[in-house]
Amino acid sequence: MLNYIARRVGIMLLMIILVSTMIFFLFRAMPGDPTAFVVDPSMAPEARQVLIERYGLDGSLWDQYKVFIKDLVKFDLGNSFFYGRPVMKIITDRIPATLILMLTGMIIAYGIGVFGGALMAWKRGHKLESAGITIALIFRSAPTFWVALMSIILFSVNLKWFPAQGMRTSGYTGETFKEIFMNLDFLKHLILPSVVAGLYFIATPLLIMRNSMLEVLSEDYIEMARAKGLRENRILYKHAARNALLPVVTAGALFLGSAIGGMVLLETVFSWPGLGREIVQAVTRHDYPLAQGAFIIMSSLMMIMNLVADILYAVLDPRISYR
Amino acid sequence: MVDAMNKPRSKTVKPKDKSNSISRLFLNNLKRDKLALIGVVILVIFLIIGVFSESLAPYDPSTRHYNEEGKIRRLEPPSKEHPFGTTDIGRDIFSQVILGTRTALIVGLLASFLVTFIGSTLGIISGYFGGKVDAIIMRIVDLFYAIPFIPFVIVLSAVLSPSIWNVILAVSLLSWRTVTRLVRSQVLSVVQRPFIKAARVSGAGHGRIMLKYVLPNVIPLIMLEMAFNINAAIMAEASIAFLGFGDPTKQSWGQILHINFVTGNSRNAWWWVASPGLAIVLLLVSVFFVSRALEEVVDPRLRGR
Amino acid sequence: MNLLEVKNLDIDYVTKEGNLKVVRDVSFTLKQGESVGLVGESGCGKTTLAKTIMRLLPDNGVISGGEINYKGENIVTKNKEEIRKLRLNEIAMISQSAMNSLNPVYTVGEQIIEGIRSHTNMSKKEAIKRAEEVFAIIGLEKKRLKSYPHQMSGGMKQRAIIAMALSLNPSLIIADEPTTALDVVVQDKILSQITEIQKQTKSSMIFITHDISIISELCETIIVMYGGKIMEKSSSKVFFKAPYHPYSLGLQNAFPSILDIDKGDLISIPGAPPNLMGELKGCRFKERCPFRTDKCMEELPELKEIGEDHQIACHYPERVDEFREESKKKETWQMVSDRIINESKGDA
Repeated sequence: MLNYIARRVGIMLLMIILVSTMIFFLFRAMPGDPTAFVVDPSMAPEARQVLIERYGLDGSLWDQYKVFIKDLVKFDLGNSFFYGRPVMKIITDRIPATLILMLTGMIIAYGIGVFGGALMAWKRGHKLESAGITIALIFRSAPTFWVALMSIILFSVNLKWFPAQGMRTSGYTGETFKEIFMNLDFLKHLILPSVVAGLYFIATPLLIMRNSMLEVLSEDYIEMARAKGLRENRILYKHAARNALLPVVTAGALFLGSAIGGMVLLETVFSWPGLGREIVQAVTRHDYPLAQGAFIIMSSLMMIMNLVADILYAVLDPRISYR
Repeated sequence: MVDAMNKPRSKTVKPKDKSNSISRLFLNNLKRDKLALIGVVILVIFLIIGVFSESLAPYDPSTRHYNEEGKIRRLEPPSKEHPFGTTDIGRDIFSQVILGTRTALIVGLLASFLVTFIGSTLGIISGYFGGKVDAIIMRIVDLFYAIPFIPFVIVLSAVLSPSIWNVILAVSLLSWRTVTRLVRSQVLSVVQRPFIKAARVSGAGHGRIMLKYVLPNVIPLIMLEMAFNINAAIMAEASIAFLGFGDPTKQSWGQILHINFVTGNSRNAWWWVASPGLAIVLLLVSVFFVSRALEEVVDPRLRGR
Repeated sequence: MNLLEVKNLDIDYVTKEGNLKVVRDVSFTLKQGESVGLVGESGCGKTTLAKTIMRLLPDNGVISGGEINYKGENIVTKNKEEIRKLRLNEIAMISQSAMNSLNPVYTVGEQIIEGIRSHTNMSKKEAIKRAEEVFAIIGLEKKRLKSYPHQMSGGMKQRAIIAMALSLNPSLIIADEPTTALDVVVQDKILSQITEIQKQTKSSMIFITHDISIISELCETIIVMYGGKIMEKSSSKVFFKAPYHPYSLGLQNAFPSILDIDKGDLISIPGAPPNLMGELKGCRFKERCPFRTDKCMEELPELKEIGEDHQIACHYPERVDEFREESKKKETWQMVSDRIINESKGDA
């Protein structure tokens, strides 16, 4: 098991370097002054010269790449033009907000989706089934940012149930993690965006769980469980759902890519100070080091969560051998 | 089950016969599946709107409208003259939505075509040759799975100038991976069938075998993937445009919402928010119904599900 | 008192195209400690019959007539919870596909203990002890309780399923082709184990198979089914000496016991079981019977007594000697095959 994880972590690190390389060359391949992507154009000439030497910008592309990779290994992603601070520092400040929102959304979606999907398959042909499919379908076809905008109009503007934007009521500033996230005010701000995120995620677990359940329910071991005289609930959740869950985990891992994309949109609409909103603002402000760094970190986050999903799968399915 | 196994096999040798039977089965399906029929009708309406959008739109989308008193019709809710209301500077939202249809359709159709073209070409090559070629292509696929879509497109638009062609390019660049995976796995099983071996023995070249024998057997799957990718592409375009990285010269649904959002009117003008979004939902749902009906034809196991 | 009484049982499968009459007018009884063999090709209704006794029919399966009395109580009218309590505790099943009957994500032990504990108040420890006991009876090491199904061979999984069926000392065991998926050597071993255990525990058994030769060693009574109906019912001793029904004769010649393998050629009954949809006229076996007459085409033969504990559903019990002779010849069945081909041409 440990070997398996070590091997997977190795592959993941290689992937992160490859993706970073790709993004590095994508920026450098553009016409115009290459220094503009690394060094703030508005700097004083002397300071500029220092940085040009620091990043090897007077040398060849290969020299620049070597500096870039060396910095990357040291978690140094350069300085943001806009904030004038290290990119890594800005990003680590933003990550908790994004992760909390995303994970809350996923818990909502997978909680409801897995149980709902199992129930839909169990009660096949029932009204509940078609209702579930229709809801999943509508939220799959509706752009997240639009659902977010509409929910703000309905729940914040008209009903005034939840705040419309941000993580905290304006005027409040917190320093430590506890001050920022561990209180009711934050929770109130979290509800609406995380429910919208949940609705965006829900189609995948709900529909896959249903299909996978339908398949599992026709398996012989389900009939055997009935023949053993087990109670319906036990058959449904302990035997059928447990097996049907496996494809849901796999699909969930593949879905992470679009989930992170969805975060970008949601954070923008809800002015949620996370990584996604930061990358949009960075590109709008031509803050290239920050955009590049945020992208690398987002890909890495996705790969890490992917790995977690894979390990979870291995734990759930005893047939997997850790090659 | 027997049905599912035999159907494609008995028809593998006659590709023409096969595509005929698919369209016939699909039409039969429409008679049974009311939702798919509704989907087709809505889709046709969207296509007509897309083609004739200039003549169908009542006004130029950027004209500012004034009322009898000569004041700009700022943020007016839906009325007879402006069925979807007006924007903060008195523009007609209905005309904007009509014109946005074309952008959505162009991006949806072109990008999904490109995606399936790239994806299935690589998938067929990968599955047909196997070995090292397969391994290399599949590693590239893995790498592309590690790239988050929207952030990548945002970064890409930072270096490219915003235009719908770049949006199509970005969508195609990242979405081919799924098609490649699916097509490859089907090709792997097609290659095992006797008529491919027979063709090899009879000295047909690789290109010829792939085009004449392998391709016809994966066409149904490719068509299906194309249908599903239309939705993904339309959604991607809307998202990019909403974030403000779309083509500023083309009306699009995402851009209507972008302007609404950045001008700070997303909370007070529900009609401005609702109408383009509903257009997206309607188009995507109808495409989905049609592709689901297509899926039932392609994969007989799904029938009656 | 009889342990099990099946009376005039009718079972239908409801489909979009109409009702499939999978079982019609089946009656038999079973005393404590006795066993009965159900024989017939796949699709003749024997598995459906067995599942119905445990009320395990799929959603579209309906008991459309008759009674199943278990220990004097009608199973057909019992509610879900009453049925649930009956399963495993009173009536246990050894299923057809032992390979897939164990849930891949739990250990075999967990699955057996789960069954025990859902019917008793045993603590986990006691249940484990009981599981070890039944494993010993069936000849599996107790450390195997900790194995996952994919870590066991087919024979072991089959044994584990048998152990599970024995875990609560049921009065009735339904064994549905318990050895079809196994190789011959393992088959024999497991069969003799089943007989052994059945004699020890004095439970009754319904043994389902398409291999007629197995029954002779296992069961007191044999029931031959075809097209959802009983064709012949007899004590095994009588049956194997002198089967009556043309279908039984066909089966007997298709599965000769090892002793008389050299006596004649192996034959097979040409054609396939009948379509049970729509209106059914005449004898169910008419399409494939080498001896059919016009009467067989029109009139359904009733099950009638032709000897002590021996019933057949054929219009011509008196022609049995002729049937026995003819059915050994390959030509007889070749004729049926030709006839089927001709008839299908006529249809087209």
